[in-house]
Amino acid sequence: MSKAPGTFSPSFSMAELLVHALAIELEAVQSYEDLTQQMKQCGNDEVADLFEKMSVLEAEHAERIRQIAGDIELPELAPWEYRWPGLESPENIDLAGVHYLMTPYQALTLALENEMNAMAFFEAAANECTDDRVRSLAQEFADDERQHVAWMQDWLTKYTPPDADWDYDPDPPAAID
Amino acid sequence: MSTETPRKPRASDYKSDTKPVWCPGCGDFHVLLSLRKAVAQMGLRPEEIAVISGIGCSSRIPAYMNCYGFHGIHGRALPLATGVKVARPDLTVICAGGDGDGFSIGGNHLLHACRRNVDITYVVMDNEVYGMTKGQPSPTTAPDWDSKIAPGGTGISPFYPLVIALASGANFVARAFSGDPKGTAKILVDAITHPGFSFVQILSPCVTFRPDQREWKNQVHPAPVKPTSDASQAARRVMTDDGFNIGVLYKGSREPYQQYVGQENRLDRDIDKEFLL
Amino acid sequence: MSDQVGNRDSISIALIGKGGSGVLTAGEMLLTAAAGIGRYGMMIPVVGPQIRGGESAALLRLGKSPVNCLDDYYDVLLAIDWQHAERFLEDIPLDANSLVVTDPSAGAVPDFIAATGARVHELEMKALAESVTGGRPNMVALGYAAGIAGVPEAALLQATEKKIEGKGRDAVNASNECVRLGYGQAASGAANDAAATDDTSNRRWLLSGNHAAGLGALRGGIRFAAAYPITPATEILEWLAPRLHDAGGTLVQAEDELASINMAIGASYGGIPSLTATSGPGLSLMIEGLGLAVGAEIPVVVINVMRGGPSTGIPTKPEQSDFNAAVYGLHGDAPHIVVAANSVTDSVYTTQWAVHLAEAMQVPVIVLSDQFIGQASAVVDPIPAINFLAKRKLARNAGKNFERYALTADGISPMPLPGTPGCQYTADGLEHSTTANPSGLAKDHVAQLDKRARKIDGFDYGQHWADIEGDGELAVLTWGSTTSTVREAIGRLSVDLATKIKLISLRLLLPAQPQRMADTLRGVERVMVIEQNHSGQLYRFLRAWYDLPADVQTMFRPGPSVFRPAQISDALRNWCQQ
Repeated sequence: MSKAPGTFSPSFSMAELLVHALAIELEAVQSYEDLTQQMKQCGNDEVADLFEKMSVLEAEHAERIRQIAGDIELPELAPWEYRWPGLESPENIDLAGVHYLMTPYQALTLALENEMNAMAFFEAAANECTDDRVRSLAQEFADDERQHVAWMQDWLTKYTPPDADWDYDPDPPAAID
Repeated sequence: MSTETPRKPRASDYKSDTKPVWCPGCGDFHVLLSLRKAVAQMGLRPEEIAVISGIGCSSRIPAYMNCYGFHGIHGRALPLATGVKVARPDLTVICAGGDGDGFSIGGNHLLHACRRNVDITYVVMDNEVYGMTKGQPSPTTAPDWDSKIAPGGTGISPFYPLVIALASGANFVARAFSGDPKGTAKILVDAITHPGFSFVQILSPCVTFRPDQREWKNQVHPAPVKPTSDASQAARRVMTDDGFNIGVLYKGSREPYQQYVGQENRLDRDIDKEFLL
Repeated sequence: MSDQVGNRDSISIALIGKGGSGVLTAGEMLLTAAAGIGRYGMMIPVVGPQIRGGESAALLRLGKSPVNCLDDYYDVLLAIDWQHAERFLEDIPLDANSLVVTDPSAGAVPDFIAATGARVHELEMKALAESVTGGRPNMVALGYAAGIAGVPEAALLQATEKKIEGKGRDAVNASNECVRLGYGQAASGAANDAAATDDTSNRRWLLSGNHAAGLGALRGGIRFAAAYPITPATEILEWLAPRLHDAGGTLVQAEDELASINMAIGASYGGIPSLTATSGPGLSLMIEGLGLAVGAEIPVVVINVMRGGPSTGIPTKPEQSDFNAAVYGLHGDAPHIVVAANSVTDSVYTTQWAVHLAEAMQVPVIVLSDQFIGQASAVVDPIPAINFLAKRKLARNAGKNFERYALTADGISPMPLPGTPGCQYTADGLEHSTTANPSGLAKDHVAQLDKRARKIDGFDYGQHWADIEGDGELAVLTWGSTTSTVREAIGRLSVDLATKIKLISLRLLLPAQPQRMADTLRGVERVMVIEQNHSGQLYRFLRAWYDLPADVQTMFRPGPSVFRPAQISDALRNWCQQ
């Protein structure tokens, strides 16, 4: 794993904060795009739509971060050089929660968890960073994520939790090779 | 006139247009991501990478990257990859497949590929089941895992891939976890860069036939020691391995196989002199 | 005092003795010596079942014209000893005209030998050898054999010295002395024609069919071989190993035939013409791999040196019984190419042609040879190089949606080699669309099946599809090593028989060539199919694919014994007179 638990220390410089923030969004875009494709492949159009909307949201967020970054030169980090609290970027979907029959409620729950993780990440950064400008930006990012959390929570109210047999598929898996 | 420095490759540069057939939630999606991240990090050109596989869910991976690929026959990915690399040492050759393809029908080739130590990287996506054929035990499945074909379990001890690879002479032995694409990417970069035969077992849960493997993310842990270049030390470590140690176990210094096809074509016209009476 | 031996254009000599007695070495020397005076010849080694110490036989035939098969009987059998000689009963037919040379110290001539009616001459090989320090009986036997065969002593000594010189002067002297002693015993031996003038302007070659196949492969452009040893094909791979390396290629020893074929396919996918060589049991293992090469359209050559089958069969003897496996073995509709070499010399050309075909059509080609051709050493005319080279249609640049398996008119799609930007594709055994994406759709399957069949059926194989000799209302259809024996049989009949017989030896077994056959059989009213297997494998195939005249005879014999010319000429004579 990229980090042993308990050693997360987000005392970033401006460039580092930005590169992490950008990575969060870009990885989230990729993640949601992949999930959109997967859901489409499996005919789960409702959730595909949801994931697609999220990928657009994240892309917009990424664009905003790019604009904020402006001309600041961002370090080129190897994938494992990012300092995430867990294994992956906070907004990376945990595949264990993905299922081809997943309901919108579950998709949103996953997304909500991501936004909350991202918020926690930026809060931690806001606390730890020593530079005022960095702290202030980190706080701004945290607030953005808080906003996303609110959206997800609101969105969730439109759906009901899944039934007990949500993953029942009368058709068995297919052996294609 | 501005000369633009070529931008650093991104993982998305190595995506093909082909949509994976894998079940959503399959660990292989993240393995694919890790592989793309790894080759992007190394800056390899897509056309200089050959991804060679056998048959099974994991073996579908070549088509999902826009590199050269060969989806071969069951169990024969390693000899296929060996042929490609020996003929074309200029290519980066990545061999891929699952635990059935690699350890059961492909088991013999694994032993000899490790011995031969050709400079390829073998990635086995281990989900301790035959997924493609709908849920039979594989050589890494626990003996008491119930299935239709072996009710109550096979009763046979599982195969320990890292032990076998190490004992057979692999020059690089590691275990990764699909749920950690970045860590896996790092291990893959290490494996591909390291000369000789690199073996990477990637625990990659099967969402459809092994839902119990959701627990793996809580069971895996970084190996508490750094990689060793001492094979006997690696052997001692691996004998107490709980199957969830993540990291590079062994980085050896065996000379890789050198007898490649050369660049020049040098057939001597006088070759038939030896038959002259 | 030896009587005249041999009354035809050739003389057949067998040397037998227990393992370690140097019978095969002596045989080789005799062959080389005969070549030195302008003779043609071939030598077949025969071994018993033990790994060491077992009896062995060197079967030679020397002649003034090219020798590609064995005669009906042996003119001379030299036995250094009679250990387990009964094993050679079938391999060394004798009759009343034969001369058996025996060493009295080795025991009585066995009954089954005496029963043939052959004349017996005693030669004290052991005693004579023992009179020379470091002398060996096989060299005495050799000297005697050379005398009988009319090979001058000088030529023989030249051959023996060359072979033994590595062992030091003393060994050479001892050997020479034994040769002289044996030669002296042959007395007025110049039985066959006086030594032909030594025409060294056209130095001949001495090589085995297996080495010839290796040469053909190299000339064709093979630069990668994967190897798993198997009798009787191992020599091909051992010969190729250093020479491939010298030519800029390489050979990898694989762990089994499954690995061999897949390595060859992988190397070929990478762009290097590749092959492997095996025999029946190995071919069976490779069948799945061949199917992959068909489906993914990868060139590869497999030389199959046939031996007695089925299963482990008779590893050290020839048979032509892998026809079915080579032609029909693949599952699915899997058009591919099968060719057959019909002599040692032809092994060079046919193998080279196979490389050319494989590369031209991106398809596996199986070359059928057999143990007789493969392990025979033959003195042949020089084999000049011909211009069949590996030439693959390559794709070098492509736009988006590159079609690796494009539906071209000739069925052959340009193939990109890894490293070529813009043409990346994943080769697949799965059925696929033109863009190489796996597809189970009928339209794609039919289109690709059509294409893979079309590329082979539409190819112009030229005149190489068969060797056609003579003309007549009767034709013999055969293939592989049986060809030479049929040719000799027909040649004998032409002397006294009015009926003319055409010889058709198929080189291209698959795909069938109905049109060419129809043209060749125009005017032919009766056909005999002769092959060395039990079930008439080629015959059944001919029935399936070709129109044959109403009158078809067959002559099938499985291994281990090869056809003898008289067996065929007798059958043909009877047939003609019906």
